Amino acid sequence: MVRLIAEGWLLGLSTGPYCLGACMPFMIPYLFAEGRPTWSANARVIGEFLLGRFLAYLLFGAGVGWIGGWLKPHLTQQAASLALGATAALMLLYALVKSLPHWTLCAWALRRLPMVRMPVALGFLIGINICPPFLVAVARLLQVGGLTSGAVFFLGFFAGTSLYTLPLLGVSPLTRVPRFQRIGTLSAVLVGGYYLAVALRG
Amino acid sequence: MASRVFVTGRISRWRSVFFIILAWAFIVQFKANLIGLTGRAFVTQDIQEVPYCHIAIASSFLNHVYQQYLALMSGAWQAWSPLTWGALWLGITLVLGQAWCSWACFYGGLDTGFARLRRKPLIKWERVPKALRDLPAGILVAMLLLSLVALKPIFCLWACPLKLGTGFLDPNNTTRIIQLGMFATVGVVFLIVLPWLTKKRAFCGLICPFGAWQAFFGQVNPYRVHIKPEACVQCQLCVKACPTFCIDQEGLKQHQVSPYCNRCGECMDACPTGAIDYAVGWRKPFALAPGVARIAFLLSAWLVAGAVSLLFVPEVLLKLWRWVFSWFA
Ligand code: SF4
Ligand code: SF4
Repeated sequence: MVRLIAEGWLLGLSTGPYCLGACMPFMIPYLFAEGRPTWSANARVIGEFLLGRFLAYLLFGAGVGWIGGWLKPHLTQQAASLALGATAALMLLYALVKSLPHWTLCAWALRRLPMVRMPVALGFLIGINICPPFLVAVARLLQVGGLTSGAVFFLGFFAGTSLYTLPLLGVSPLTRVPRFQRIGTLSAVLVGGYYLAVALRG
Repeated sequence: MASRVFVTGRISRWRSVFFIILAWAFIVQFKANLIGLTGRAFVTQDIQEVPYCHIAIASSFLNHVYQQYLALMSGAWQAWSPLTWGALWLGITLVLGQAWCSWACFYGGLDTGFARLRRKPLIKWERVPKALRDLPAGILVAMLLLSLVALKPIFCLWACPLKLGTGFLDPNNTTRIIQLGMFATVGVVFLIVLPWLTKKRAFCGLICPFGAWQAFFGQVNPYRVHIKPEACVQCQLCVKACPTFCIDQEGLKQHQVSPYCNRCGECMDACPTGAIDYAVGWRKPFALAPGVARIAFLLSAWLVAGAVSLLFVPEVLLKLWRWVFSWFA
């Protein structure tokens, strides 16, 4: 068991920069757009985001381990587009609602969407984005097999990759500045739009 | 032209003439080089590298940092050339700050040219909604992040109108058609139609990531545009005149000019009381004798812009002259 955790952790550590690349375009604009005033508030956002990722990994880890050889990596291209599209659409929706709260549709969405759960949702969707490190982990899991081992392996993988998201906290002193919040919201719209277009093209 | 500015005291007219010539000369030179390199003016396949300009460099700056890190780690000294560009940029920014965008940038010269085609705007457009005022900075942040993740200059590949006649990294036909569509749309809308209809420099004021970059780093430069509260009568002529939306009604009440101001001088020429002028000083203007700040700024601006123009304007003018002459000979 310890060996499995260590293996997952080391895999996470070695492929983590890729995860930072996947999270950064979503998380940096999001942190600015949210504009939380303190380090602890921003740490909480990152914590919730990691929780979302954790849930995604756990679900996938257990699922893949359980399903074993059934889920083949060649299915992943479409799944990756789907996950990326969902993340981008959520980001776009969030940024539009945030920047145009007086628009009828946005006001309606603002009332209905659980905006406070946004980091968890983003984390979850980015977590199930099927990226190369994730594929390597899945490939290893297919050999491991078993629900518990799968979850344990992904736990280690999660811990390893999560270290790379901590530098995101560095933007904290700037997030309370209203101008930076506006800039964050605008860049969230653009990043969301770009990735949505990428996902739609497959 | 520089002397006309000093003699007439009107900054923007002669600056614009110079600026427009500089921009078109750059385009001609760029195309001529392309023909020299490839034998054609419009190339899609032969050039496999993205030709870099200051806009592309700024909006993919994190990629350069990453490349320099790799170069340092591997001892590949040849890969250090961006540092030379960096030093050049630093020098220009220290001397000129944001004024680059109204004195030496080819895109600025292009939208200035179209904005100057009409005497009066066909459509009045004096303010940008608050949510969109920082759009250039939003675009810059998005481009920095997307370029780093894609390891490609995204602005260059998807939004730069100059690319209409150059090569692409991407060999996929559908992608290339979409890219061409984007370049044409951005160029036609922001460089030609909006400036022509509204007399506003829509490309520089609304979407250029380098404008935002210079607005941020240009703060190290001491030149500012200052509104003297005691002289301002709140007539709002400067709001109408500013081509990049840098003075608005709210800001004017507090005599504030936006950090995106690129020192073009249009507001100074429009102000009936001489309330706006160049100033020197970071937070507050230093108390200098009247006219000193203006002379200091104009000298710096003409020196840098003149040096940039010397790289290609005389050569292009000479080529054009020879070409015209050969028609009559
Ligand atoms: S044009 Fe001059 S006087 Fe009129 S509002 Fe602007 S600064 Fe004041
Ligand atoms: S505030 Fe004046 S100098 Fe600055 S960009 Fe506007 S018109 Fe030009």
